[in-house]
Amino acid sequence: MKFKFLELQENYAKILFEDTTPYFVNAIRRTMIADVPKMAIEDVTIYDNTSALFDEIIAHRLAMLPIPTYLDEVKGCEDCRIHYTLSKEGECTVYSGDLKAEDPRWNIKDKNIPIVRLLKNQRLILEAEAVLGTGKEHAKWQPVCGIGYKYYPEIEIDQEKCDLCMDCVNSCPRKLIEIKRNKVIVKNPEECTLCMSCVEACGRDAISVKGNPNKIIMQYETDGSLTAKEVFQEALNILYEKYDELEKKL
Amino acid sequence: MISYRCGKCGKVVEIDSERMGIKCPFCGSKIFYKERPPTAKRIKAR
Repeated sequence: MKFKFLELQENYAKILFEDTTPYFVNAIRRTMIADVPKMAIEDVTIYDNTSALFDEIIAHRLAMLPIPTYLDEVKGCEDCRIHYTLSKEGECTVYSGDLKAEDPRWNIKDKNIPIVRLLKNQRLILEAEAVLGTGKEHAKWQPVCGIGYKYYPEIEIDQEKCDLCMDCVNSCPRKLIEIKRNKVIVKNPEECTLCMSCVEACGRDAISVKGNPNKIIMQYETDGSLTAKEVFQEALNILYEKYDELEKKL
Repeated sequence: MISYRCGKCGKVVEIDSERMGIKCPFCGSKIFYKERPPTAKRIKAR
């Protein structure tokens, strides 16, 4: 199996796998969702809350915040806890950036996530503790979101059957097909979603769209607690260990 | 004796739960709010 990053940003990645199978890519996907650990707020101690939201709702909102996770420091450490404090009085909006960690390194990645709006004389005072967990226990410990994969689109156009009627050009929802020098061409086949609109639109059966199951594009975002690259590396490590364990037990 | 806050005048009133009916001795209102206990509340963020 080969893979390469088609796109790699801090919180987003698009990976092309070659000589692979859907089962294998799906195993990576599921490992990223359920087994890659990250930090999330688990215990909340509320001292005062006169806001419009219940304590439980505020705690739940805090749980969803992306907490920077340095895996090499906290991996395997179930007792590691990050302590946060929050104290605010209205009139204001409480944002994720108001949650203060002892060490600023652990402050929430995204500073502008609203938690609750406080009116005049309303107060919110609390402490929170984040612990390491995995997505199989609760979705707040899931480092990736919107993770999916598709077969590599292979679009073939039979230029002899084609009469340049423009039907396929107009039917493509992503506007990937165009006519250049009296020839129908596909601009960026990787963007194709295999929706088959062009195949249905073509009256002369000149287009065929197929997904290649041995060549797969996977894309995902992270919530910011880990970078896209870290999540991928960690998922591969976990998978490797699991297969290793299986092999030993056989 | 548990204290409640009167919904009309805002004064904290001690009310005996043994007796039937509640009424604010200052303004006569019958609507009361339960005060938040001063203890810290620990909850699981789930």
